Amino acid sequence: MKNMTATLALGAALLALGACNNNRNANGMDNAQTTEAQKAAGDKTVAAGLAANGKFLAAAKAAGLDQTLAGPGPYTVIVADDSGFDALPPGTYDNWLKPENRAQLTGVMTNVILPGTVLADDISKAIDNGKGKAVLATMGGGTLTATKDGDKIVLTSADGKKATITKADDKFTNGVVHHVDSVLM
Amino acid sequence: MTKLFLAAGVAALAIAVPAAAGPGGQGGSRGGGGKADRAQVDRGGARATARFDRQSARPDRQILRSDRQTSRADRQTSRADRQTLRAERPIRAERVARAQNRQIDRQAIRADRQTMRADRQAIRAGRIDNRSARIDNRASRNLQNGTVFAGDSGWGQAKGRGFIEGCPPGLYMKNNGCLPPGQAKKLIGSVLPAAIVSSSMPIALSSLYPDTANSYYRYNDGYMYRVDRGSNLVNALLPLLGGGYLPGQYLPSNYMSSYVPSAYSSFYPNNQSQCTRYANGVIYYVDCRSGLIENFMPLYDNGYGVGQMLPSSYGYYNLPQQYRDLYYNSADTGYWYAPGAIYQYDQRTSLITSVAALLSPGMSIGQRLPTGYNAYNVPLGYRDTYYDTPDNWYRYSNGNIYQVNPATQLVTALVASALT
Repeated sequence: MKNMTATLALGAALLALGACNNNRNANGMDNAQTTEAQKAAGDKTVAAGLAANGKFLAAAKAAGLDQTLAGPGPYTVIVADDSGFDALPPGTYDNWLKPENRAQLTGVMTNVILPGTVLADDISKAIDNGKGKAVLATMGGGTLTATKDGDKIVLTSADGKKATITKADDKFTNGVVHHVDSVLM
Repeated sequence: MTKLFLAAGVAALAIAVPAAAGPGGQGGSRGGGGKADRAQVDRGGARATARFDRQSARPDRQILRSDRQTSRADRQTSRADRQTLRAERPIRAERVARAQNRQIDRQAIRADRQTMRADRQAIRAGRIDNRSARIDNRASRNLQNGTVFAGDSGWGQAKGRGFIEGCPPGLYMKNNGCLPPGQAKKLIGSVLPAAIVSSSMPIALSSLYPDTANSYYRYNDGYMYRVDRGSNLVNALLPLLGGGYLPGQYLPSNYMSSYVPSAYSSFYPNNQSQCTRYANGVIYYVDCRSGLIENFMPLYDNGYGVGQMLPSSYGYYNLPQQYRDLYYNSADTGYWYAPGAIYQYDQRTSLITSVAALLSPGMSIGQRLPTGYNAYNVPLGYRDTYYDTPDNWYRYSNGNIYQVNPATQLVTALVASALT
């Protein structure tokens, strides 16, 4: 009987160890992701969450970034609404979609994608800590400057173009989307 | 010997003269005789003395004469020597003449060499002309027949081994109907060759270059062709290879002062043996001395992206460790990492079909927190575990979560991988 108890205990211990191992990733590091947080992120990727016929997604596809936005990420994506694209000088958007202008489009698109998940609250805290402004690194190698206009967060590109976050914190499995009213270029 | 005897004689006389003259003079003056006697004696003594003096001076003159003769002989000797030397001068002149002759010979040889070099250059130029003509002929045959090397009668097979289906291996691998490199550009404004008409875009890229009512797209030799349906002429050509300069070309001198942006300088170090330069979104590896491009690395942010062709030197797997479980090569698809992105490419054509992931310049332990990371950016699933405190911040970069010291702003540890 004693032997049987010991065997069961050993088996339970092994199972527990196995469970621990499952919580480690391929690089041998602890996977500290919590289940609640995973649920909060939903079950859709950024690519799936963007408007299928929207101009931003079409531009992302033209730049070859659709797989990126469907990949593991995570990224913070500043998405201009279609009205923002419509406000661009005539022909700008259509020119971006031409294959010969892909490099230019790529530069625009990668400068509205930030590394990691940056929620509006995180930007707000960084602005407060930075005495009124926060500099955010982009995947294109540039920066955006965040400031506050009342309760709203305003993003300014290196070229001085401004966009106000109109809808913040759209959460997805591989990042977060902030919607803005104009295109940062 | 004569000189010796003369000298001995002179010496004997010199000794005898004082001995004879001294007592006489003294005795005369001290003897005390009459005035006349004394005068006679004096006159007689003086004459004798003068005669004796003349006699004794005679050998001196002989000595002087002998000396003069000796020096004359010496002068004659030296004159003879000078004449001898003078006689030797023609030999030196001969030498000079010989040296001049040699110089003339060398000049002649040099002239010959220059002539030979010019001949060789002419022959080489002829070869290049012939080669160009051959390439033009081949291209024109390509245009007419669609393919040249395919078929039993192709010169490739006739010429010998190493050809695949009648096509040189290098061209065969391009799978472009054996169109030689560089000929593609000549096709703008012309009818698309039959070989290219059937060379459709890679499936992965066809969605990016959809055919329309007015035009359609074809791929060949690293270029994407847009063809007008009405005229059936090529009206646009998109080079799918990043950058405008290729290995083997010279980087324009104004780009030699265009250094790699600081964000990429650790990836592409510049040193004495290998110069790295940056132009139009492309990093060039340049031979520091000659300015010749040895390799290039297009960057994603400006000029490198979907639809472009990976350079042939990118034939190995180089993904960062933390991404290898997510993106691994298969028979159809390959992945390539370059600063800024992980690219997915078509194994057959080497064309980039997608950007699998965007990567930032990254963080490393001990490094200062890069600009733009003051905002908390840890993925949602990890926020319960890694949240900012007065002692530690946590920041995400390229699949990893790093710990940062808020006071020093230094990255202190890598605490988790967020790629699962």
